[in-house]
Amino acid sequence: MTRTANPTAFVGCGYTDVTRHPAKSEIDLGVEACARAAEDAGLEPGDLDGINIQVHHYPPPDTGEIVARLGMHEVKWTEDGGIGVTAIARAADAVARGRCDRVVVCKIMNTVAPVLTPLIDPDTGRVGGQAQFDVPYGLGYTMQGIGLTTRRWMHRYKITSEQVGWLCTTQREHARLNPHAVLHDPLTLDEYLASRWIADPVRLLDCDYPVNGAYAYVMTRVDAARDLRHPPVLLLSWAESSHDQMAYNNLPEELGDGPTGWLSEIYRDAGIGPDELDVWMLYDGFSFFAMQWMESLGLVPRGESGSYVEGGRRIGIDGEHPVNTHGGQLSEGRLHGAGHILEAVQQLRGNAGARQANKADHAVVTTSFPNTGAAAILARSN
Amino acid sequence: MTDTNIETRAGQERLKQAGVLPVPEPDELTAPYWQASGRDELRLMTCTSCGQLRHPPSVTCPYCGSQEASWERVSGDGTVYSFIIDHRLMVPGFDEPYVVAQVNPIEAEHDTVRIVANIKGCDPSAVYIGMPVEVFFEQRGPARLPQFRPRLDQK
Repeated sequence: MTRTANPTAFVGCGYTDVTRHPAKSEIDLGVEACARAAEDAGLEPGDLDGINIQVHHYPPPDTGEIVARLGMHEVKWTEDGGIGVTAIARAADAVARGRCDRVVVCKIMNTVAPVLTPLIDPDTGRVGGQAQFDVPYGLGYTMQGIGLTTRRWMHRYKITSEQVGWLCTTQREHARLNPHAVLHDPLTLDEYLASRWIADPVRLLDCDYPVNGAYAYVMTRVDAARDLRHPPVLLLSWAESSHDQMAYNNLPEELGDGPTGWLSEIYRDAGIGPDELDVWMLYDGFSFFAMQWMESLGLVPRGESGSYVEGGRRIGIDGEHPVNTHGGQLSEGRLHGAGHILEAVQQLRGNAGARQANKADHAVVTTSFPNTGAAAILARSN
Repeated sequence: MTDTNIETRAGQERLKQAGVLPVPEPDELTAPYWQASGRDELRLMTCTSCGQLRHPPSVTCPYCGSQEASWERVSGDGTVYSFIIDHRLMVPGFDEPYVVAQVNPIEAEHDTVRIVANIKGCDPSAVYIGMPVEVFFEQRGPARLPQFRPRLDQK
């Protein structure tokens, strides 16, 4: 699905501190991020009339309490859930259809809640469902499944660990310029290569960094966005995969050869091609994803993400196409896609400070796995 | 993704401390697979309409959409499609680095037919993509698990 009628725009960004260990409740984090996003837009929290809260566990925090503590007067639209671009899609759709006028979208991360744990009967060790063919063999965690697809991808296209390492070290350089990022120590290629194995070929430093914190943004219709504090950042297009699971076992090897299928919709609807995307905010729950997104989006030829990132120059702040200028989830912290969105907005506003790209007219933002995720194109408004 | 998972994680800690390995729990769809492995036979769901093998079992053939299927015995020879060497050891009962591989049975036309198993009988560092392997069966609680090891003779 894609939407371009009644264009919507990003008008405010709100960040809490991001910490390794929980320092505040989820409600506190949500209220703080949403209030700052409104303030950044030049709005009062009472001006907001739509809200989306995302967490990765059940039960979620009480959105009603966040609404009350924020001081929102009238909530015309509320819908929890989604991740990254899929939450943008819900909010933009609500605004475009006139369900609400100014929506705040907020991701709250909490390291205490587990991400994914295989369902094993705690008394008998029995495992049913599809997992009965995996878990008895010790295969039950996301990073293991990612290891299987990654090894095949590296084998097929002769991608090296050193090349993946260049992505990680370059993103760390970016994080060092980002006051929100949790990891600021320099990272060398040798340190990357020496980081311990999780599920060979997946190293510890290929995995994103679990954090606590909340990021929020405000969206409204473009015609209502002009008088606000910052120049609006336009949502040109978005699309999401119809796959709803992280199945890896039976996926065809091709994770989308170039921008085919649902991904081609972002180019069709934005009316631009891959070569017009200046800055690339590519989901990096695992390092490999960002590189696979480059290939699936047609930003680089299939199988050539390794040579593209090698040396780090092309993807650095001053490079051809700066990638994850906030440090990505590998170094800024795991905000489940919200960090990529907010960084794209800052780049397109020209507000990214020391991380500002030389040219940032169009940005691509992606979420989740390249075969089952979502992508959007954002643009500066002037 | 639910609060049940928190309880399950605590349960897994108990299993881990007890050293209990996970055991497959067959259902109506998968029972013939495990019944066959109980006889040290590897049988895969096979579409009676288009003839394609598929695994794991599914109600509908992913190639032609037919729901008619039989369980055909295969040789147990295959090649390694991909693999990991797990060092994190989070699944209960696994206490030293181990290989999890996806094995393509030689009878399967599509490489999307992938049997997950451990590769045993060689050092993990000896496993490679394309490696010829053969099935053997390992007792796990009430079940016999198909497992794979290097295939030395080229049959």
